[in-house]
Amino acid sequence: MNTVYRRDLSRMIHSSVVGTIIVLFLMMMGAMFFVDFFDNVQALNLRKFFSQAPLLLSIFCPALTMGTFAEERSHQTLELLETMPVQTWKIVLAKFLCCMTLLAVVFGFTLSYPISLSTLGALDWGPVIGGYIALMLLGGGYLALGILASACTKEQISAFLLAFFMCFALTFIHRLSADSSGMTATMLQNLSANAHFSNIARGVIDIRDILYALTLQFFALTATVLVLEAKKYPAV
Amino acid sequence: MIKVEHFTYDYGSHRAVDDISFELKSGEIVALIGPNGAGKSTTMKVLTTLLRPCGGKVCVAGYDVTENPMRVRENMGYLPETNPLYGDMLVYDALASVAAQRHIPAKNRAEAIETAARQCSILNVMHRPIETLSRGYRQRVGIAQAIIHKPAVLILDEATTGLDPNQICEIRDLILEIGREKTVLISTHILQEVTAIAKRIILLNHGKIACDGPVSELLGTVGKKTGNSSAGIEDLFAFYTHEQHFE
Repeated sequence: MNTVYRRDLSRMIHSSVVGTIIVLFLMMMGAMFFVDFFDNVQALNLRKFFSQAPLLLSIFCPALTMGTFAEERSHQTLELLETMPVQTWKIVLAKFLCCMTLLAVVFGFTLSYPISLSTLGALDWGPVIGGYIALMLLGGGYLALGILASACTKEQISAFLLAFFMCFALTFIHRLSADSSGMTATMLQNLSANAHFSNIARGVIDIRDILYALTLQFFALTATVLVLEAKKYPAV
Repeated sequence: MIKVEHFTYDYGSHRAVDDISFELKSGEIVALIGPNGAGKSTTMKVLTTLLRPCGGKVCVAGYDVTENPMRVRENMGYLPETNPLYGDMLVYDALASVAAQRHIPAKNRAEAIETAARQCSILNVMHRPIETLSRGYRQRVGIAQAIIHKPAVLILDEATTGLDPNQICEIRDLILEIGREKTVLISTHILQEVTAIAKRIILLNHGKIACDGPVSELLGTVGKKTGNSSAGIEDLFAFYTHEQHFE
Protein backbone atom coordinates (compact mmCIF):
# COMPACT_ATOMS: atom_id res chain seq x y z
CA MET A 1 0.00 0.00 0.00
CA ASN A 2 2.86 2.30 0.90
CA THR A 3 4.44 1.70 -2.51
CA VAL A 4 1.26 2.52 -4.41
CA TYR A 5 0.84 5.66 -2.26
CA ARG A 6 4.40 6.88 -2.85
CA ARG A 7 4.37 6.09 -6.56
CA ASP A 8 1.02 7.79 -7.12
CA LEU A 9 2.04 10.83 -5.08
CA SER A 10 5.28 11.16 -7.02
CA ARG A 11 3.46 10.81 -10.36
CA MET A 12 0.79 13.36 -9.35
CA ILE A 13 3.39 15.87 -8.13
CA HIS A 14 5.21 15.60 -11.45
CA SER A 15 2.01 15.70 -13.53
CA SER A 16 1.47 18.93 -15.43
CA VAL A 17 -2.31 18.34 -15.39
CA VAL A 18 -2.41 18.05 -11.60
CA GLY A 19 -0.10 21.08 -11.30
CA THR A 20 -2.41 23.16 -13.49
CA ILE A 21 -5.47 22.05 -11.49
CA ILE A 22 -3.79 23.00 -8.21
CA VAL A 23 -2.67 26.41 -9.50
CA LEU A 24 -6.17 27.16 -10.83
CA PHE A 25 -7.73 26.09 -7.53
CA LEU A 26 -5.36 28.28 -5.53
CA MET A 27 -6.09 31.22 -7.82
CA MET A 28 -9.83 30.73 -7.31
CA MET A 29 -9.36 30.42 -3.53
CA GLY A 30 -7.29 33.59 -3.61
CA ALA A 31 -9.94 35.39 -5.64
CA MET A 32 -12.60 34.25 -3.14
CA PHE A 33 -10.57 35.63 -0.26
CA PHE A 34 -9.79 38.98 -1.86
CA VAL A 35 -13.30 39.57 -3.24
CA ASP A 36 -14.52 39.67 0.37
CA PHE A 37 -11.26 41.00 1.74
CA PHE A 38 -12.72 44.12 3.40
CA ASP A 39 -15.62 42.15 4.89
CA ASN A 40 -13.10 39.62 6.21
CA VAL A 41 -10.95 42.38 7.70
CA GLN A 42 -13.97 44.13 9.23
CA ALA A 43 -15.34 40.96 10.81
CA LEU A 44 -11.88 39.47 11.37
CA ASN A 45 -13.03 36.00 10.39
CA LEU A 46 -13.01 33.77 7.32
CA ARG A 47 -16.68 32.78 7.38
CA LYS A 48 -17.42 34.14 3.89
CA PHE A 49 -14.28 32.50 2.55
CA PHE A 50 -15.25 29.12 3.99
CA SER A 51 -18.90 29.42 2.97
CA GLN A 52 -17.94 29.32 -0.71
CA ALA A 53 -15.49 26.46 -0.37
CA PRO A 54 -17.92 23.55 -0.93
CA LEU A 55 -18.69 24.72 -4.47
CA LEU A 56 -15.00 25.07 -5.28
CA LEU A 57 -14.24 21.68 -3.75
CA SER A 58 -16.96 20.07 -5.86
CA ILE A 59 -14.94 21.14 -8.92
CA PHE A 60 -11.41 20.69 -7.56
CA CYS A 61 -11.78 17.24 -5.97
CA PRO A 62 -13.22 15.54 -9.10
CA ALA A 63 -10.46 17.18 -11.18
CA LEU A 64 -7.80 15.85 -8.82
CA THR A 65 -9.20 12.30 -8.71
CA MET A 66 -10.40 11.84 -12.29
CA GLY A 67 -7.18 10.08 -13.29
CA THR A 68 -6.79 7.82 -10.25
CA PHE A 69 -8.33 4.73 -11.85
CA ALA A 70 -9.54 5.99 -15.24
CA GLU A 71 -6.00 6.78 -16.37
CA GLU A 72 -4.67 3.46 -15.08
CA ARG A 73 -7.45 1.68 -16.94
CA SER A 74 -6.97 3.57 -20.22
CA HIS A 75 -3.18 2.94 -20.06
CA GLN A 76 -3.91 -0.64 -18.99
CA THR A 77 -1.56 -0.33 -16.00
CA LEU A 78 -4.50 -1.29 -13.80
CA GLU A 79 -4.17 -4.81 -15.24
CA LEU A 80 -0.60 -4.89 -13.94
CA LEU A 81 -1.57 -3.42 -10.59
CA GLU A 82 -4.35 -5.97 -10.14
CA THR A 83 -1.95 -8.88 -10.63
CA MET A 84 0.32 -7.67 -7.83
CA PRO A 85 -0.18 -9.28 -4.40
CA VAL A 86 -1.96 -6.19 -3.06
CA GLN A 87 -5.61 -6.28 -1.97
CA THR A 88 -7.98 -4.00 -3.85
CA TRP A 89 -8.94 -2.07 -0.70
CA LYS A 90 -5.30 -1.24 -0.09
CA ILE A 91 -4.95 0.13 -3.63
CA VAL A 92 -8.09 2.26 -3.16
CA LEU A 93 -6.96 3.49 0.27
CA ALA A 94 -3.48 4.33 -1.04
CA LYS A 95 -4.95 6.42 -3.85
CA PHE A 96 -7.34 8.15 -1.44
CA LEU A 97 -4.54 9.00 1.01
CA CYS A 98 -2.42 10.27 -1.87
CA CYS A 99 -5.20 12.68 -2.91
CA MET A 100 -5.78 13.69 0.74
CA THR A 101 -2.08 14.52 1.07
CA LEU A 102 -2.24 16.78 -1.98
CA LEU A 103 -5.41 18.40 -0.65
CA ALA A 104 -3.71 19.10 2.69
CA VAL A 105 -0.72 20.65 0.90
CA VAL A 106 -3.04 22.84 -1.19
CA PHE A 107 -4.89 24.03 1.93
CA GLY A 108 -1.51 24.63 3.53
CA PHE A 109 -0.86 27.27 0.86
CA THR A 110 -4.07 29.10 1.85
CA LEU A 111 -2.94 29.46 5.48
CA SER A 112 -1.41 32.78 4.42
CA TYR A 113 -4.96 34.25 4.45
CA PRO A 114 -5.74 33.76 8.16
CA ILE A 115 -2.14 34.60 9.05
CA SER A 116 -2.39 37.92 7.17
CA LEU A 117 -5.75 38.64 8.87
CA SER A 118 -4.27 37.89 12.30
CA THR A 119 -1.72 40.67 11.77
CA LEU A 120 -4.58 43.15 11.45
CA GLY A 121 -6.34 42.31 14.71
CA ALA A 122 -7.25 39.64 17.22
CA LEU A 123 -8.39 36.83 14.94
CA ASP A 124 -10.46 34.12 16.61
CA TRP A 125 -8.55 31.00 15.56
CA GLY A 126 -11.25 28.55 16.72
CA PRO A 127 -13.56 28.97 13.71
CA VAL A 128 -10.52 29.10 11.41
CA ILE A 129 -9.21 25.77 12.66
CA GLY A 130 -12.78 24.40 12.54
CA GLY A 131 -13.06 25.65 8.98
CA TYR A 132 -9.93 23.89 7.89
CA ILE A 133 -11.01 20.68 9.62
CA ALA A 134 -14.33 20.99 7.79
CA LEU A 135 -12.52 21.56 4.48
CA MET A 136 -10.46 18.40 4.97
CA LEU A 137 -13.51 16.34 6.00
CA LEU A 138 -15.67 17.57 3.14
CA GLY A 139 -12.72 17.38 0.73
CA GLY A 140 -12.16 13.78 1.83
CA GLY A 141 -15.79 12.94 1.06
CA TYR A 142 -15.61 14.55 -2.36
CA LEU A 143 -12.27 12.91 -3.13
CA ALA A 144 -13.77 9.53 -2.24
CA LEU A 145 -16.69 10.22 -4.59
CA GLY A 146 -14.21 11.26 -7.28
CA ILE A 147 -12.24 8.03 -6.86
CA LEU A 148 -15.49 6.06 -7.11
CA ALA A 149 -16.39 7.85 -10.37
CA SER A 150 -12.88 7.22 -11.70
CA ALA A 151 -13.21 3.49 -10.94
CA CYS A 152 -16.45 3.35 -12.94
CA THR A 153 -15.02 4.55 -16.26
CA LYS A 154 -11.85 4.68 -18.32
CA GLU A 155 -12.48 8.19 -19.65
CA GLN A 156 -11.07 10.85 -17.34
CA ILE A 157 -13.56 13.45 -18.54
CA SER A 158 -16.47 11.10 -17.81
CA ALA A 159 -15.04 10.48 -14.35
CA PHE A 160 -14.77 14.21 -13.76
CA LEU A 161 -18.33 14.93 -14.91
CA LEU A 162 -19.81 12.05 -12.92
CA ALA A 163 -17.97 13.07 -9.75
CA PHE A 164 -18.80 16.75 -10.26
CA PHE A 165 -22.48 15.87 -10.60
CA MET A 166 -22.41 13.83 -7.37
CA CYS A 167 -20.49 16.49 -5.40
CA PHE A 168 -22.60 19.34 -6.77
CA ALA A 169 -25.80 17.46 -5.94
CA LEU A 170 -24.58 16.79 -2.39
CA THR A 171 -23.61 20.44 -1.94
CA PHE A 172 -26.94 21.90 -3.00
CA ILE A 173 -29.45 19.11 -2.34
CA HIS A 174 -30.95 21.04 0.62
CA ARG A 175 -32.16 23.72 -1.80
CA LEU A 176 -34.56 21.27 -3.43
CA SER A 177 -36.97 21.80 -0.59
CA ALA A 178 -38.79 25.12 -0.76
CA ASP A 179 -40.07 24.71 2.79
CA SER A 180 -37.40 24.77 5.48
CA SER A 181 -39.46 22.68 7.88
CA GLY A 182 -41.01 19.24 7.52
CA MET A 183 -39.62 15.77 7.09
CA THR A 184 -38.41 16.18 3.49
CA ALA A 185 -36.55 19.35 4.34
CA THR A 186 -34.93 17.71 7.36
CA MET A 187 -33.92 14.72 5.28
CA LEU A 188 -32.42 16.93 2.56
CA GLN A 189 -30.64 19.01 5.20
CA ASN A 190 -29.15 15.84 6.66
CA LEU A 191 -28.00 14.73 3.21
CA SER A 192 -26.59 18.10 2.25
CA ALA A 193 -22.84 18.50 2.59
CA ASN A 194 -23.23 22.26 2.72
CA ALA A 195 -25.49 22.14 5.77
CA HIS A 196 -23.05 19.94 7.70
CA PHE A 197 -20.08 21.96 6.48
CA SER A 198 -21.52 25.31 7.57
CA ASN A 199 -21.84 24.06 11.16
CA ILE A 200 -18.18 23.12 11.42
CA ALA A 201 -17.07 26.21 9.50
CA ARG A 202 -18.79 28.36 12.14
CA GLY A 203 -16.59 26.68 14.71
CA VAL A 204 -19.37 24.40 15.99
CA ILE A 205 -17.99 20.89 15.97
CA ASP A 206 -20.90 18.46 16.14
CA ILE A 207 -20.13 14.75 16.11
CA ARG A 208 -22.99 14.24 13.60
CA ASP A 209 -21.25 16.46 11.05
CA ILE A 210 -17.97 14.61 11.47
CA LEU A 211 -19.79 11.28 11.21
CA TYR A 212 -21.51 12.50 8.03
CA ALA A 213 -18.17 13.21 6.34
CA LEU A 214 -16.55 9.99 7.54
CA THR A 215 -19.60 7.96 6.48
CA LEU A 216 -19.52 9.57 3.03
CA GLN A 217 -15.84 8.67 2.68
CA PHE A 218 -16.38 5.14 3.94
CA PHE A 219 -19.32 4.41 1.63
CA ALA A 220 -17.69 5.92 -1.44
CA LEU A 221 -14.43 4.03 -0.88
CA THR A 222 -16.25 0.77 -0.13
CA ALA A 223 -18.29 1.23 -3.31
CA THR A 224 -15.02 1.78 -5.23
CA VAL A 225 -13.63 -1.53 -3.94
CA LEU A 226 -16.87 -3.28 -4.89
CA VAL A 227 -16.86 -1.74 -8.39
CA LEU A 228 -13.28 -2.89 -8.98
CA GLU A 229 -13.94 -6.36 -7.58
CA ALA A 230 -17.20 -6.75 -9.52
CA LYS A 231 -15.31 -6.33 -12.80
CA LYS A 232 -13.47 -9.58 -12.05
CA TYR A 233 -16.66 -11.59 -11.88
CA PRO A 234 -18.48 -12.87 -14.97
CA ALA A 235 -21.36 -10.74 -16.24
CA VAL A 236 -24.70 -12.42 -15.63
CA MET B 1 2.40 -25.84 -11.39
CA ILE B 2 -0.73 -24.92 -13.34
CA LYS B 3 -3.76 -27.16 -13.03
CA VAL B 4 -7.00 -26.40 -14.85
CA GLU B 5 -9.96 -28.74 -14.36
CA HIS B 6 -13.27 -28.37 -16.22
CA PHE B 7 -12.82 -24.63 -16.45
CA THR B 8 -15.62 -22.67 -18.11
CA TYR B 9 -16.17 -18.95 -18.60
CA ASP B 10 -19.23 -17.17 -19.90
CA TYR B 11 -19.66 -13.61 -21.14
CA GLY B 12 -23.39 -13.32 -20.58
CA SER B 13 -24.98 -15.97 -22.78
CA HIS B 14 -21.78 -16.52 -24.78
CA ARG B 15 -19.57 -19.36 -23.55
CA ALA B 16 -15.99 -18.19 -24.17
CA VAL B 17 -14.27 -21.18 -22.56
CA ASP B 18 -16.05 -24.49 -22.45
CA ASP B 19 -14.98 -27.14 -19.94
CA ILE B 20 -11.24 -27.26 -20.57
CA SER B 21 -8.68 -29.16 -18.51
CA PHE B 22 -4.89 -29.21 -18.71
CA GLU B 23 -1.87 -29.36 -16.47
CA LEU B 24 1.55 -27.76 -16.73
CA LYS B 25 4.50 -29.20 -14.87
CA SER B 26 7.51 -27.38 -13.49
CA GLY B 27 10.10 -26.40 -16.11
CA GLU B 28 7.72 -26.68 -19.06
CA ILE B 29 7.39 -24.00 -21.73
CA VAL B 30 3.91 -24.33 -23.21
CA ALA B 31 2.35 -22.30 -26.00
CA LEU B 32 -1.33 -21.48 -25.79
CA ILE B 33 -2.49 -20.80 -29.32
CA GLY B 34 -5.71 -20.49 -31.23
CA PRO B 35 -7.62 -18.17 -33.53
CA ASN B 36 -9.10 -14.89 -32.31
CA GLY B 37 -11.99 -15.46 -29.92
CA ALA B 38 -10.83 -18.97 -29.06
CA GLY B 39 -10.63 -18.17 -25.34
CA LYS B 40 -6.86 -17.68 -24.90
CA SER B 41 -7.02 -14.23 -23.34
CA THR B 42 -9.87 -15.25 -21.04
CA THR B 43 -7.88 -18.27 -19.89
CA MET B 44 -4.82 -16.07 -19.32
CA LYS B 45 -6.89 -13.56 -17.35
CA VAL B 46 -8.32 -16.26 -15.11
CA LEU B 47 -4.85 -17.73 -14.52
CA THR B 48 -3.59 -14.28 -13.52
CA THR B 49 -6.61 -13.66 -11.21
CA LEU B 50 -7.91 -10.76 -13.31
CA LEU B 51 -11.12 -12.74 -13.82
CA ARG B 52 -12.81 -15.39 -11.71
CA PRO B 53 -13.88 -18.64 -13.40
CA CYS B 54 -17.59 -19.41 -13.88
CA GLY B 55 -17.03 -23.09 -13.34
CA GLY B 56 -14.31 -25.65 -12.69
CA LYS B 57 -11.11 -25.32 -10.73
CA VAL B 58 -8.05 -23.32 -11.70
CA CYS B 59 -4.88 -23.61 -9.60
CA VAL B 60 -1.55 -21.85 -10.05
CA ALA B 61 1.46 -22.93 -8.00
CA GLY B 62 -0.89 -25.06 -5.91
CA TYR B 63 -3.28 -22.22 -5.03
CA ASP B 64 -6.84 -21.83 -6.24
CA VAL B 65 -7.32 -18.56 -8.15
CA THR B 66 -10.74 -17.99 -6.57
CA GLU B 67 -9.97 -18.98 -3.00
CA ASN B 68 -6.44 -17.68 -2.74
CA PRO B 69 -5.73 -15.06 -5.41
CA MET B 70 -3.04 -13.30 -3.33
CA ARG B 71 -0.97 -16.48 -3.07
CA VAL B 72 -1.39 -17.03 -6.82
CA ARG B 73 -0.14 -13.50 -7.52
CA GLU B 74 2.84 -13.95 -5.22
CA ASN B 75 3.94 -17.04 -7.16
CA MET B 76 3.19 -15.79 -10.65
CA GLY B 77 4.78 -13.30 -13.01
CA TYR B 78 2.69 -11.82 -15.78
CA LEU B 79 3.43 -9.82 -18.91
CA PRO B 80 0.13 -8.59 -20.40
CA GLU B 81 -0.34 -8.33 -24.14
CA THR B 82 -0.06 -4.54 -24.16
CA ASN B 83 2.93 -4.51 -21.79
CA PRO B 84 1.58 -1.65 -19.68
CA LEU B 85 4.32 0.42 -18.07
CA TYR B 86 4.46 3.78 -16.31
CA GLY B 87 6.23 5.64 -19.12
CA ASP B 88 7.24 8.61 -17.00
CA MET B 89 9.16 6.46 -14.51
CA LEU B 90 12.82 5.55 -14.73
CA VAL B 91 13.46 1.86 -15.40
CA TYR B 92 15.14 1.49 -12.00
CA ASP B 93 12.25 3.19 -10.19
CA ALA B 94 9.68 1.04 -12.00
CA LEU B 95 11.53 -2.14 -11.01
CA ALA B 96 11.98 -0.88 -7.44
CA SER B 97 8.27 -0.12 -7.22
CA VAL B 98 7.34 -3.60 -8.47
CA ALA B 99 9.89 -5.18 -6.11
CA ALA B 100 8.26 -3.39 -3.16
CA GLN B 101 4.77 -4.38 -4.28
CA ARG B 102 6.02 -7.96 -4.61
CA HIS B 103 7.01 -7.81 -0.92
CA ILE B 104 10.71 -8.34 -1.61
CA PRO B 105 12.44 -7.30 1.65
CA ALA B 106 14.11 -3.86 1.38
CA LYS B 107 17.59 -5.31 2.03
CA ASN B 108 17.23 -7.73 -0.91
CA ARG B 109 15.62 -5.32 -3.39
CA ALA B 110 18.79 -3.92 -4.97
CA GLU B 111 20.06 -7.43 -5.62
CA ALA B 112 16.69 -8.59 -7.03
CA ILE B 113 16.56 -5.56 -9.35
CA GLU B 114 20.12 -6.15 -10.55
CA THR B 115 19.54 -9.86 -11.14
CA ALA B 116 16.34 -9.27 -13.17
CA ALA B 117 17.94 -6.40 -15.07
CA ARG B 118 21.02 -8.45 -15.89
CA GLN B 119 18.91 -11.40 -17.01
CA CYS B 120 16.91 -9.13 -19.31
CA SER B 121 19.98 -7.12 -20.43
CA ILE B 122 18.64 -3.75 -19.40
CA LEU B 123 21.42 -2.67 -17.04
CA ASN B 124 22.49 0.01 -19.53
CA VAL B 125 19.08 1.74 -19.52
CA MET B 126 18.29 1.63 -15.81
CA HIS B 127 18.29 5.40 -15.39
CA ARG B 128 16.33 6.27 -18.50
CA PRO B 129 12.60 7.08 -18.55
CA ILE B 130 10.67 4.10 -19.88
CA GLU B 131 8.90 6.22 -22.50
CA THR B 132 12.24 6.96 -24.21
CA LEU B 133 13.07 3.26 -24.71
CA SER B 134 12.61 1.25 -27.90
CA ARG B 135 9.81 -1.29 -28.03
CA GLY B 136 12.28 -4.14 -27.58
CA TYR B 137 13.70 -2.59 -24.43
CA ARG B 138 10.23 -1.85 -23.08
CA GLN B 139 9.36 -5.50 -23.60
CA ARG B 140 12.47 -6.45 -21.65
CA VAL B 141 11.47 -4.11 -18.83
CA GLY B 142 8.04 -5.77 -18.79
CA ILE B 143 9.66 -9.20 -18.54
CA ALA B 144 12.09 -7.97 -15.85
CA GLN B 145 9.08 -6.76 -13.82
CA ALA B 146 7.46 -10.16 -14.25
CA ILE B 147 10.50 -12.17 -13.05
CA ILE B 148 11.89 -9.84 -10.37
CA HIS B 149 10.38 -11.89 -7.52
CA LYS B 150 11.55 -15.20 -9.03
CA PRO B 151 8.05 -16.59 -9.60
CA ALA B 152 7.44 -20.29 -10.10
CA VAL B 153 5.08 -19.57 -12.99
CA LEU B 154 5.53 -17.04 -15.77
CA ILE B 155 2.61 -16.09 -18.00
CA LEU B 156 3.41 -14.14 -21.15
CA ASP B 157 0.69 -12.81 -23.40
CA GLU B 158 1.91 -12.05 -26.94
CA ALA B 159 5.42 -11.31 -25.67
CA THR B 160 6.96 -10.84 -29.13
CA THR B 161 4.17 -9.07 -31.01
CA GLY B 162 5.27 -5.87 -32.72
CA LEU B 163 9.00 -6.51 -32.34
CA ASP B 164 11.51 -6.51 -35.19
CA PRO B 165 13.24 -9.83 -36.10
CA ASN B 166 16.33 -9.07 -34.00
CA GLN B 167 14.24 -8.13 -31.01
CA ILE B 168 12.13 -11.28 -31.45
CA CYS B 169 15.29 -13.42 -31.36
CA GLU B 170 16.49 -11.64 -28.21
CA ILE B 171 13.18 -12.04 -26.38
CA ARG B 172 12.95 -15.65 -27.57
CA ASP B 173 16.39 -16.44 -26.10
CA LEU B 174 15.39 -14.71 -22.90
CA ILE B 175 12.20 -16.77 -22.58
CA LEU B 176 14.13 -19.99 -23.27
CA GLU B 177 16.62 -19.08 -20.55
CA ILE B 178 13.87 -18.29 -18.06
CA GLY B 179 12.02 -21.48 -19.04
CA ARG B 180 14.91 -23.66 -17.82
CA GLU B 181 13.83 -23.04 -14.25
CA LYS B 182 10.23 -21.89 -14.39
CA THR B 183 6.92 -22.97 -15.84
CA VAL B 184 6.20 -20.65 -18.75
CA LEU B 185 2.84 -20.33 -20.46
CA ILE B 186 3.05 -18.17 -23.54
CA SER B 187 0.17 -17.07 -25.70
CA THR B 188 1.03 -16.04 -29.23
CA HIS B 189 -0.34 -15.52 -32.71
CA ILE B 190 3.10 -15.93 -34.28
CA LEU B 191 3.27 -19.62 -35.06
CA GLN B 192 7.04 -19.60 -35.69
CA GLU B 193 7.39 -18.61 -32.05
CA VAL B 194 5.67 -21.79 -30.99
CA THR B 195 8.19 -24.13 -32.61
CA ALA B 196 11.11 -21.93 -31.56
CA ILE B 197 10.17 -21.67 -27.90
CA ALA B 198 7.65 -24.27 -26.77
CA LYS B 199 7.94 -28.00 -26.47
CA ARG B 200 4.22 -28.39 -26.00
CA ILE B 201 1.13 -26.80 -27.56
CA ILE B 202 -2.35 -26.27 -26.22
CA LEU B 203 -4.56 -25.20 -29.11
CA LEU B 204 -7.90 -23.65 -28.25
CA ASN B 205 -10.73 -23.33 -30.72
CA HIS B 206 -14.27 -22.17 -29.94
CA GLY B 207 -13.45 -22.27 -26.23
CA LYS B 208 -12.44 -25.95 -26.29
CA ILE B 209 -9.08 -27.67 -26.42
CA ALA B 210 -8.63 -28.80 -30.02
CA CYS B 211 -5.28 -30.43 -29.31
CA ASP B 212 -2.76 -30.66 -26.49
CA GLY B 213 0.61 -32.35 -26.68
CA PRO B 214 4.27 -32.17 -27.64
CA VAL B 215 4.87 -30.18 -30.84
CA SER B 216 6.68 -33.01 -32.64
CA GLU B 217 3.99 -35.54 -31.73
CA LEU B 218 1.16 -33.31 -32.91
CA LEU B 219 2.96 -32.50 -36.16
CA GLY B 220 3.38 -36.23 -36.75
CA THR B 221 -0.34 -36.84 -36.14
CA VAL B 222 -1.33 -34.07 -38.55
CA GLY B 223 1.18 -35.37 -41.11
CA LYS B 224 -0.36 -38.84 -40.94
CA LYS B 225 -3.96 -37.60 -41.15
CA THR B 226 -3.31 -35.21 -44.04
CA GLY B 227 -0.79 -37.36 -45.85
CA ASN B 228 1.70 -34.52 -45.69
CA SER B 229 4.89 -35.85 -44.13
CA SER B 230 6.44 -32.37 -43.99
CA ALA B 231 3.46 -30.79 -42.18
CA GLY B 232 4.47 -27.65 -40.34
CA ILE B 233 2.97 -25.64 -37.52
CA GLU B 234 0.76 -23.69 -39.97
CA ASP B 235 -0.70 -26.98 -41.24
CA LEU B 236 -1.31 -28.09 -37.69
CA PHE B 237 -3.06 -24.83 -36.87
CA ALA B 238 -5.19 -25.00 -40.02
CA PHE B 239 -6.02 -28.66 -39.43
CA TYR B 240 -7.30 -28.18 -35.90
CA THR B 241 -9.03 -24.83 -36.38
CA HIS B 242 -10.72 -25.56 -39.69
CA GLU B 243 -14.44 -26.12 -39.10
CA GLN B 244 -14.76 -29.55 -40.77
CA HIS B 245 -11.84 -30.97 -38.75
CA PHE B 246 -13.00 -29.64 -35.46
CA GLU B 247 -14.79 -32.02 -33.13
